[in-house]
Amino acid sequence: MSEHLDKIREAIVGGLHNEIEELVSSAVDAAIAPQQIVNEAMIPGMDVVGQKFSTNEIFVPEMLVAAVTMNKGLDLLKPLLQKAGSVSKGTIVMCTVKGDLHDIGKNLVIMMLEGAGFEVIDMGVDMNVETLIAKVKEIKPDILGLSALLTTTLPEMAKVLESLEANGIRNQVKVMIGGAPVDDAYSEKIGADAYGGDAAEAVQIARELITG
Amino acid sequence: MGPDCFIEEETVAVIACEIMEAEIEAVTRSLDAVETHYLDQGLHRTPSQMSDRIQGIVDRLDSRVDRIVLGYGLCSNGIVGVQARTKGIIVPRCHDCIGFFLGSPQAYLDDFHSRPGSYYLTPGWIGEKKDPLSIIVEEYVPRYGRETAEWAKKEELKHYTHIVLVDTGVADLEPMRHIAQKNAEYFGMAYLEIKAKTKAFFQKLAKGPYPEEEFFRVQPGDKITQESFFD
Repeated sequence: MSEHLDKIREAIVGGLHNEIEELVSSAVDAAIAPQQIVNEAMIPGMDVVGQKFSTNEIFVPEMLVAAVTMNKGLDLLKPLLQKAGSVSKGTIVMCTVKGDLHDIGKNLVIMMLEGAGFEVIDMGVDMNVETLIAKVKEIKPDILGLSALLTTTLPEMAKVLESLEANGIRNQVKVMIGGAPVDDAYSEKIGADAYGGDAAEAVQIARELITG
Repeated sequence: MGPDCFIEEETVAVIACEIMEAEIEAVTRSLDAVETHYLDQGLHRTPSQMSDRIQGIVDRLDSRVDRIVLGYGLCSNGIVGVQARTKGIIVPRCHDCIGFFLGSPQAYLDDFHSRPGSYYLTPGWIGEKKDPLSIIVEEYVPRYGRETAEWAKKEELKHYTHIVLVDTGVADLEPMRHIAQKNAEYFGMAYLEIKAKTKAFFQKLAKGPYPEEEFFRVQPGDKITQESFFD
Protein backbone atom coordinates (compact mmCIF):
# COMPACT_ATOMS: atom_id res chain seq x y z
CA MET A 1 0.00 0.00 0.00
CA SER A 2 2.68 2.45 0.98
CA GLU A 3 4.37 1.90 -2.37
CA HIS A 4 1.25 3.14 -4.19
CA LEU A 5 1.02 6.16 -1.95
CA ASP A 6 4.73 6.92 -2.30
CA LYS A 7 4.48 6.89 -6.08
CA ILE A 8 1.49 9.23 -6.08
CA ARG A 9 3.22 11.61 -3.70
CA GLU A 10 6.36 11.62 -5.84
CA ALA A 11 4.34 12.13 -9.02
CA ILE A 12 2.78 15.25 -7.51
CA VAL A 13 6.12 16.59 -6.30
CA GLY A 14 7.62 15.96 -9.74
CA GLY A 15 4.57 17.25 -11.64
CA LEU A 16 4.13 13.99 -13.57
CA HIS A 17 0.70 14.91 -14.88
CA ASN A 18 0.78 12.27 -17.61
CA GLU A 19 1.30 9.47 -15.11
CA ILE A 20 -0.87 10.45 -12.19
CA GLU A 21 -4.13 8.97 -13.46
CA GLU A 22 -2.64 5.54 -13.92
CA LEU A 23 -1.01 5.68 -10.50
CA VAL A 24 -4.24 6.71 -8.81
CA SER A 25 -6.20 4.04 -10.68
CA SER A 26 -3.85 1.31 -9.59
CA ALA A 27 -4.02 2.54 -6.01
CA VAL A 28 -7.81 2.38 -6.17
CA ASP A 29 -7.57 -1.10 -7.72
CA ALA A 30 -5.39 -2.10 -4.79
CA ALA A 31 -8.33 -1.19 -2.54
CA ILE A 32 -6.74 1.86 -0.97
CA ALA A 33 -9.47 4.18 0.30
CA PRO A 34 -9.83 7.35 -1.81
CA GLN A 35 -9.66 9.63 1.22
CA GLN A 36 -6.48 7.90 2.30
CA ILE A 37 -4.94 8.56 -1.14
CA VAL A 38 -5.75 12.24 -0.73
CA ASN A 39 -4.67 12.57 2.89
CA GLU A 40 -1.57 10.40 2.83
CA ALA A 41 -0.22 10.95 -0.69
CA MET A 42 -1.64 14.01 -2.40
CA ILE A 43 -1.70 16.53 0.42
CA PRO A 44 1.75 15.48 1.71
CA GLY A 45 3.00 15.77 -1.91
CA MET A 46 1.74 19.33 -2.19
CA ASP A 47 3.23 20.00 1.23
CA VAL A 48 6.66 19.13 -0.19
CA VAL A 49 5.95 21.34 -3.21
CA GLY A 50 5.05 24.22 -0.88
CA GLN A 51 8.26 23.80 1.09
CA LYS A 52 10.39 23.69 -2.06
CA PHE A 53 8.64 26.84 -3.27
CA SER A 54 9.31 28.69 -0.04
CA THR A 55 13.02 27.88 -0.24
CA ASN A 56 13.19 28.91 -3.93
CA GLU A 57 14.07 25.41 -5.02
CA ILE A 58 11.15 25.59 -7.43
CA PHE A 59 9.12 28.46 -8.89
CA VAL A 60 5.57 29.23 -9.94
CA PRO A 61 5.56 27.01 -13.06
CA GLU A 62 6.50 23.88 -11.08
CA MET A 63 3.83 24.79 -8.56
CA LEU A 64 1.25 25.09 -11.33
CA VAL A 65 2.23 21.78 -12.88
CA ALA A 66 2.08 20.06 -9.49
CA ALA A 67 -1.40 21.51 -8.99
CA VAL A 68 -2.54 20.27 -12.41
CA THR A 69 -1.16 16.84 -11.50
CA MET A 70 -3.02 16.69 -8.22
CA ASN A 71 -6.19 17.97 -9.87
CA LYS A 72 -6.12 15.19 -12.45
CA GLY A 73 -5.77 12.66 -9.68
CA LEU A 74 -8.54 14.27 -7.66
CA ASP A 75 -10.90 14.22 -10.63
CA LEU A 76 -10.62 10.44 -10.62
CA LEU A 77 -11.20 10.24 -6.90
CA LYS A 78 -14.07 12.71 -6.48
CA PRO A 79 -16.84 10.34 -7.68
CA LEU A 80 -15.43 7.64 -5.43
CA LEU A 81 -15.26 10.00 -2.46
CA GLN A 82 -18.91 10.92 -3.01
CA LYS A 83 -19.88 7.28 -3.47
CA ALA A 84 -18.15 6.45 -0.23
CA GLY A 85 -20.65 8.84 1.29
CA SER A 86 -18.05 11.00 2.95
CA VAL A 87 -19.71 13.81 4.85
CA SER A 88 -18.53 17.38 4.25
CA LYS A 89 -15.98 18.41 6.81
CA GLY A 90 -17.34 21.93 6.71
CA THR A 91 -18.11 24.83 4.41
CA ILE A 92 -15.55 27.44 3.43
CA VAL A 93 -15.99 30.65 1.45
CA MET A 94 -12.74 31.72 -0.21
CA CYS A 95 -11.59 34.75 -2.17
CA THR A 96 -8.68 36.98 -3.09
CA VAL A 97 -9.36 40.41 -1.60
CA LYS A 98 -10.37 43.61 -3.40
CA GLY A 99 -7.75 44.99 -5.79
CA ASP A 100 -5.75 41.77 -5.88
CA LEU A 101 -6.00 39.59 -8.99
CA HIS A 102 -3.68 36.80 -7.93
CA ASP A 103 -5.23 33.40 -7.43
CA ILE A 104 -2.62 30.72 -7.92
CA GLY A 105 -2.19 30.32 -4.17
CA LYS A 106 -5.89 30.59 -3.43
CA ASN A 107 -6.78 28.00 -6.06
CA LEU A 108 -4.19 25.66 -4.65
CA VAL A 109 -5.66 26.02 -1.18
CA ILE A 110 -9.16 25.40 -2.55
CA MET A 111 -8.06 22.24 -4.34
CA MET A 112 -6.43 20.92 -1.18
CA LEU A 113 -9.42 21.79 1.00
CA GLU A 114 -11.82 20.09 -1.42
CA GLY A 115 -9.58 17.05 -1.52
CA ALA A 116 -9.59 16.99 2.26
CA GLY A 117 -13.38 16.87 2.25
CA PHE A 118 -14.44 20.48 2.73
CA GLU A 119 -17.08 22.15 0.63
CA VAL A 120 -15.57 25.31 -0.82
CA ILE A 121 -17.35 28.25 -2.43
CA ASP A 122 -14.82 30.11 -4.56
CA MET A 123 -15.65 33.81 -4.85
CA GLY A 124 -12.75 34.49 -7.19
CA VAL A 125 -10.42 37.49 -7.18
CA ASP A 126 -10.76 41.25 -6.60
CA MET A 127 -13.68 40.57 -4.25
CA ASN A 128 -15.46 43.58 -2.88
CA VAL A 129 -16.38 43.53 0.78
CA GLU A 130 -20.14 44.02 0.34
CA THR A 131 -20.57 41.04 -1.99
CA LEU A 132 -18.45 38.91 0.29
CA ILE A 133 -20.41 39.82 3.40
CA ALA A 134 -23.68 39.11 1.58
CA LYS A 135 -22.34 35.68 0.64
CA VAL A 136 -21.29 34.92 4.20
CA LYS A 137 -24.77 35.89 5.42
CA GLU A 138 -26.37 33.69 2.77
CA ILE A 139 -24.18 30.60 3.06
CA LYS A 140 -23.27 30.83 6.74
CA PRO A 141 -19.94 29.06 6.16
CA ASP A 142 -17.84 27.64 8.96
CA ILE A 143 -14.79 29.45 7.64
CA LEU A 144 -14.04 32.49 5.52
CA GLY A 145 -10.65 32.30 3.76
CA LEU A 146 -8.93 35.47 2.50
CA SER A 147 -5.91 35.61 0.23
CA ALA A 148 -3.65 38.47 -0.91
CA LEU A 149 -0.35 38.53 -2.75
CA LEU A 150 0.36 42.25 -2.66
CA THR A 151 1.12 44.45 0.33
CA THR A 152 -0.96 47.16 -1.35
CA THR A 153 -4.06 45.02 -0.89
CA LEU A 154 -3.34 43.76 2.64
CA PRO A 155 -5.50 46.47 4.26
CA GLU A 156 -8.49 44.93 2.45
CA MET A 157 -8.25 41.96 4.80
CA ALA A 158 -8.69 44.25 7.77
CA LYS A 159 -11.68 45.85 6.06
CA VAL A 160 -13.36 42.45 5.72
CA LEU A 161 -12.84 41.77 9.43
CA GLU A 162 -14.22 45.21 10.32
CA SER A 163 -17.21 44.64 8.10
CA LEU A 164 -17.96 41.26 9.69
CA GLU A 165 -17.95 43.05 13.06
CA ALA A 166 -20.11 45.90 11.79
CA ASN A 167 -22.64 43.41 10.43
CA GLY A 168 -22.73 41.56 13.72
CA ILE A 169 -21.60 38.25 12.19
CA ARG A 170 -17.96 38.11 13.24
CA ASN A 171 -18.62 35.43 15.87
CA GLN A 172 -20.53 33.28 13.38
CA VAL A 173 -17.57 32.54 11.12
CA LYS A 174 -13.90 31.73 11.58
CA VAL A 175 -11.52 33.71 9.40
CA MET A 176 -8.28 32.30 8.05
CA ILE A 177 -5.87 34.33 5.97
CA GLY A 178 -2.89 33.62 3.76
CA GLY A 179 -0.64 34.95 1.00
CA ALA A 180 2.94 36.03 0.57
CA PRO A 181 2.87 39.25 2.66
CA VAL A 182 0.75 37.77 5.47
CA ASP A 183 2.10 36.37 8.72
CA ASP A 184 0.95 35.44 12.21
CA ALA A 185 1.55 38.95 13.50
CA TYR A 186 -0.67 40.46 10.82
CA SER A 187 -3.34 37.86 11.46
CA GLU A 188 -3.34 38.75 15.13
CA LYS A 189 -3.29 42.47 14.42
CA ILE A 190 -6.44 42.43 12.29
CA GLY A 191 -8.19 39.88 14.50
CA ALA A 192 -8.28 36.90 12.13
CA ASP A 193 -8.52 33.44 13.67
CA ALA A 194 -5.57 31.86 11.90
CA TYR A 195 -2.85 32.28 9.31
CA GLY A 196 -1.64 29.51 7.00
CA GLY A 197 1.83 29.62 5.46
CA ASP A 198 1.04 27.29 2.59
CA ALA A 199 -1.76 25.16 1.17
CA ALA A 200 -1.03 22.10 3.32
CA GLU A 201 -1.01 24.24 6.45
CA ALA A 202 -4.31 25.78 5.35
CA VAL A 203 -5.88 22.32 5.40
CA GLN A 204 -4.50 21.65 8.86
CA ILE A 205 -5.77 25.00 10.13
CA ALA A 206 -9.21 24.51 8.61
CA ARG A 207 -9.50 21.17 10.40
CA GLU A 208 -8.47 22.75 13.69
CA LEU A 209 -10.79 25.73 13.31
CA ILE A 210 -13.77 23.48 12.74
CA THR A 211 -13.06 20.97 15.47
CA GLY A 212 -12.29 23.90 17.76
CA MET B 1 9.40 63.70 11.05
CA GLY B 2 9.56 67.15 9.46
CA PRO B 3 10.84 67.83 5.99
CA ASP B 4 14.62 67.67 6.00
CA CYS B 5 16.64 70.05 3.94
CA PHE B 6 19.70 69.04 2.07
CA ILE B 7 22.78 70.47 3.67
CA GLU B 8 25.57 70.63 1.16
CA GLU B 9 28.26 69.23 3.49
CA GLU B 10 26.18 66.23 4.54
CA THR B 11 27.16 62.94 3.00
CA VAL B 12 24.31 60.75 1.82
CA ALA B 13 24.31 57.07 0.94
CA VAL B 14 21.51 55.68 -1.20
CA ILE B 15 21.12 51.91 -1.03
CA ALA B 16 18.90 50.83 -3.89
CA CYS B 17 17.74 48.07 -6.15
CA GLU B 18 19.67 48.03 -9.41
CA ILE B 19 16.38 48.20 -11.28
CA MET B 20 16.36 51.95 -10.60
CA GLU B 21 20.07 52.58 -11.18
CA ALA B 22 19.60 54.66 -14.34
CA GLU B 23 16.95 56.86 -12.69
CA ILE B 24 19.08 57.38 -9.56
CA GLU B 25 22.30 58.03 -11.46
CA ALA B 26 20.49 60.61 -13.60
CA VAL B 27 19.97 62.76 -10.50
CA THR B 28 23.06 61.89 -8.40
CA ARG B 29 25.82 61.98 -11.01
CA SER B 30 26.51 65.64 -10.33
CA LEU B 31 26.22 65.34 -6.54
CA ASP B 32 29.58 64.63 -4.91
CA ALA B 33 28.05 64.21 -1.48
CA VAL B 34 25.77 61.34 -2.57
CA GLU B 35 27.14 57.84 -2.94
CA THR B 36 25.09 54.99 -4.35
CA HIS B 37 25.04 51.26 -3.66
CA TYR B 38 23.03 48.87 -5.79
CA LEU B 39 21.82 45.35 -5.08
CA ASP B 40 20.67 42.60 -7.42
CA GLN B 41 17.09 43.08 -8.63
CA GLY B 42 16.51 39.32 -8.26
CA LEU B 43 16.21 39.88 -4.50
CA HIS B 44 12.59 40.94 -4.96
CA ARG B 45 11.80 37.30 -5.56
CA THR B 46 13.51 36.24 -2.36
CA PRO B 47 12.35 38.86 0.15
CA SER B 48 13.68 36.76 3.02
CA GLN B 49 17.24 37.41 1.78
CA MET B 50 16.71 41.04 0.90
CA SER B 51 16.86 42.44 4.43
CA ASP B 52 20.14 40.64 5.23
CA ARG B 53 21.80 42.02 2.11
CA ILE B 54 20.60 45.56 2.78
CA GLN B 55 21.54 45.32 6.46
CA GLY B 56 25.08 44.32 5.49
CA ILE B 57 25.53 47.52 3.52
CA VAL B 58 23.82 49.67 6.14
CA ASP B 59 26.23 48.32 8.77
CA ARG B 60 29.21 49.30 6.65
CA LEU B 61 27.91 52.82 6.07
CA ASP B 62 26.29 53.63 9.38
CA SER B 63 29.33 55.23 10.99
CA ARG B 64 30.71 56.76 7.81
CA VAL B 65 27.93 58.81 6.20
CA ASP B 66 25.56 61.40 7.62
CA ARG B 67 22.37 60.06 6.09
CA ILE B 68 21.22 56.67 4.79
CA VAL B 69 18.33 56.55 2.32
CA LEU B 70 16.74 53.40 0.94
CA GLY B 71 15.94 53.02 -2.73
CA TYR B 72 13.53 50.25 -1.79
CA GLY B 73 9.85 50.05 -1.04
CA LEU B 74 8.28 47.54 1.32
CA CYS B 75 8.99 45.03 -1.47
CA SER B 76 6.94 42.08 -0.16
CA ASN B 77 8.27 42.80 3.36
CA GLY B 78 11.83 42.42 2.06
CA ILE B 79 13.08 45.45 4.02
CA VAL B 80 11.30 44.65 7.28
CA GLY B 81 13.76 44.40 10.15
CA VAL B 82 16.50 46.60 8.66
CA GLN B 83 17.96 49.13 11.09
CA ALA B 84 20.78 51.68 11.34
CA ARG B 85 22.10 51.91 14.88
CA THR B 86 23.50 55.42 14.82
CA LYS B 87 22.00 57.27 11.87
CA GLY B 88 18.55 55.88 11.36
CA ILE B 89 17.23 55.41 7.84
CA ILE B 90 15.00 57.39 5.51
CA VAL B 91 12.53 55.13 3.75
CA PRO B 92 10.13 55.96 0.90
CA ARG B 93 6.52 54.97 1.68
CA CYS B 94 6.31 52.98 -1.57
CA HIS B 95 5.07 49.41 -1.62
CA ASP B 96 7.51 48.57 -4.39
CA CYS B 97 9.61 50.21 -7.08
CA ILE B 98 6.61 51.15 -9.21
CA GLY B 99 5.80 53.90 -6.70
CA PHE B 100 9.23 55.41 -7.35
CA PHE B 101 8.77 55.24 -11.11
CA LEU B 102 5.27 56.69 -11.01
CA GLY B 103 6.54 59.63 -8.98
CA SER B 104 5.10 59.07 -5.49
CA PRO B 105 3.56 56.43 -3.24
CA GLN B 106 0.13 57.99 -3.71
CA ALA B 107 0.47 58.14 -7.49
CA TYR B 108 1.09 54.40 -7.44
CA LEU B 109 -1.86 53.64 -5.18
CA ASP B 110 -4.14 55.80 -7.32
CA ASP B 111 -2.97 54.14 -10.52
CA PHE B 112 -3.09 50.67 -8.99
CA HIS B 113 -6.61 51.04 -7.63
CA SER B 114 -7.90 52.52 -10.87
CA ARG B 115 -6.50 49.60 -12.88
CA PRO B 116 -5.61 46.60 -10.67
CA GLY B 117 -4.69 44.43 -13.65
CA SER B 118 -1.63 46.46 -14.63
CA TYR B 119 1.69 44.84 -15.39
CA TYR B 120 4.17 47.71 -15.19
CA LEU B 121 7.31 47.85 -17.30
CA THR B 122 10.13 50.39 -17.08
CA PRO B 123 13.42 50.79 -18.96
CA GLY B 124 15.15 49.03 -16.05
CA TRP B 125 12.85 46.03 -16.02
CA ILE B 126 12.96 45.69 -19.81
CA GLY B 127 16.75 46.07 -19.76
CA GLU B 128 16.98 43.20 -17.28
CA LYS B 129 14.77 41.11 -19.60
CA LYS B 130 12.03 40.89 -17.01
CA ASP B 131 9.13 41.58 -19.31
CA PRO B 132 6.87 38.49 -19.41
CA LEU B 133 7.89 37.41 -22.94
CA SER B 134 11.58 37.61 -22.08
CA ILE B 135 11.00 35.66 -18.86
CA ILE B 136 9.41 32.91 -20.96
CA VAL B 137 12.37 32.81 -23.34
CA GLU B 138 15.23 33.40 -20.90
CA GLU B 139 14.05 31.59 -17.78
CA TYR B 140 11.09 29.32 -18.38
CA VAL B 141 11.87 27.64 -21.73
CA PRO B 142 15.30 26.32 -20.66
CA ARG B 143 13.80 24.94 -17.47
CA TYR B 144 10.39 23.68 -18.57
CA GLY B 145 10.30 23.55 -22.38
CA ARG B 146 8.33 25.95 -24.57
CA GLU B 147 4.86 24.50 -24.14
CA THR B 148 4.88 24.50 -20.35
CA ALA B 149 6.74 27.82 -20.28
CA GLU B 150 4.12 29.61 -22.34
CA TRP B 151 1.23 27.95 -20.53
CA ALA B 152 2.64 28.78 -17.08
CA LYS B 153 3.23 32.47 -17.83
CA LYS B 154 -0.24 32.81 -19.33
CA GLU B 155 -1.68 31.20 -16.20
CA GLU B 156 0.28 33.60 -13.98
CA LEU B 157 -0.98 36.63 -15.87
CA LYS B 158 -4.47 35.50 -16.78
CA HIS B 159 -6.22 38.22 -14.77
CA TYR B 160 -3.94 41.04 -15.93
CA THR B 161 -5.55 43.46 -18.33
CA HIS B 162 -2.88 46.05 -19.19
CA ILE B 163 0.78 46.30 -20.03
CA VAL B 164 1.77 49.73 -18.71
CA LEU B 165 5.05 51.19 -19.91
CA VAL B 166 6.31 53.91 -17.58
CA ASP B 167 8.45 56.53 -19.29
CA THR B 168 10.92 57.38 -16.54
CA GLY B 169 12.85 59.76 -18.78
CA VAL B 170 16.15 57.87 -18.82
CA ALA B 171 15.97 55.89 -22.04
CA ASP B 172 15.00 56.07 -25.67
CA LEU B 173 11.42 54.89 -25.42
CA GLU B 174 11.01 53.49 -28.93
CA PRO B 175 12.74 50.11 -28.41
CA MET B 176 11.01 49.79 -25.02
CA ARG B 177 7.68 50.55 -26.62
CA HIS B 178 8.26 47.85 -29.21
CA ILE B 179 8.93 45.22 -26.53
CA ALA B 180 6.07 46.35 -24.30
CA GLN B 181 3.62 46.30 -27.21
CA LYS B 182 4.75 42.82 -28.23
CA ASN B 183 3.99 41.65 -24.70
CA ALA B 184 0.56 43.26 -24.73
CA GLU B 185 -0.25 41.64 -28.06
CA TYR B 186 0.97 38.18 -27.04
CA PHE B 187 -0.99 38.13 -23.78
CA GLY B 188 -4.05 39.86 -25.22
CA MET B 189 -3.76 42.87 -22.92
CA ALA B 190 -4.34 46.54 -23.58
CA TYR B 191 -1.24 48.71 -23.95
CA LEU B 192 -0.75 51.93 -22.07
CA GLU B 193 2.06 54.45 -21.61
CA ILE B 194 2.48 56.70 -18.61
CA LYS B 195 4.83 59.64 -18.37
CA ALA B 196 5.34 60.21 -14.67
CA LYS B 197 7.11 62.71 -12.44
CA THR B 198 9.85 60.15 -11.91
CA LYS B 199 12.79 62.52 -11.83
CA ALA B 200 11.27 64.75 -9.17
CA PHE B 201 10.81 61.79 -6.84
CA PHE B 202 14.36 60.53 -7.31
CA GLN B 203 15.66 64.05 -6.68
CA LYS B 204 13.88 64.03 -3.33
CA LEU B 205 15.26 60.58 -2.61
CA ALA B 206 18.83 61.76 -3.13
CA LYS B 207 18.66 65.31 -1.78
CA GLY B 208 15.51 65.72 0.23
CA PRO B 209 13.33 67.30 1.34
CA TYR B 210 11.50 64.23 2.60
CA PRO B 211 7.82 65.12 2.88
CA GLU B 212 6.06 63.03 5.47
CA GLU B 213 3.45 61.70 3.07
CA GLU B 214 6.18 60.25 0.87
CA PHE B 215 8.96 59.24 3.28
CA PHE B 216 9.36 58.17 6.88
CA ARG B 217 12.40 58.20 9.11
CA VAL B 218 13.32 55.14 11.12
CA GLN B 219 15.02 56.30 14.31
CA PRO B 220 18.51 55.00 15.18
CA GLY B 221 18.27 51.46 16.50
CA ASP B 222 14.63 51.04 15.44
CA LYS B 223 13.70 48.47 12.84
CA ILE B 224 11.66 49.01 9.71
CA THR B 225 8.19 47.49 10.17
CA GLN B 226 5.37 46.63 7.81
CA GLU B 227 3.06 48.90 9.85
CA SER B 228 5.03 51.98 8.83
CA PHE B 229 3.64 51.59 5.33
CA PHE B 230 0.03 51.56 6.48
CA ASP B 231 0.08 54.60 8.80
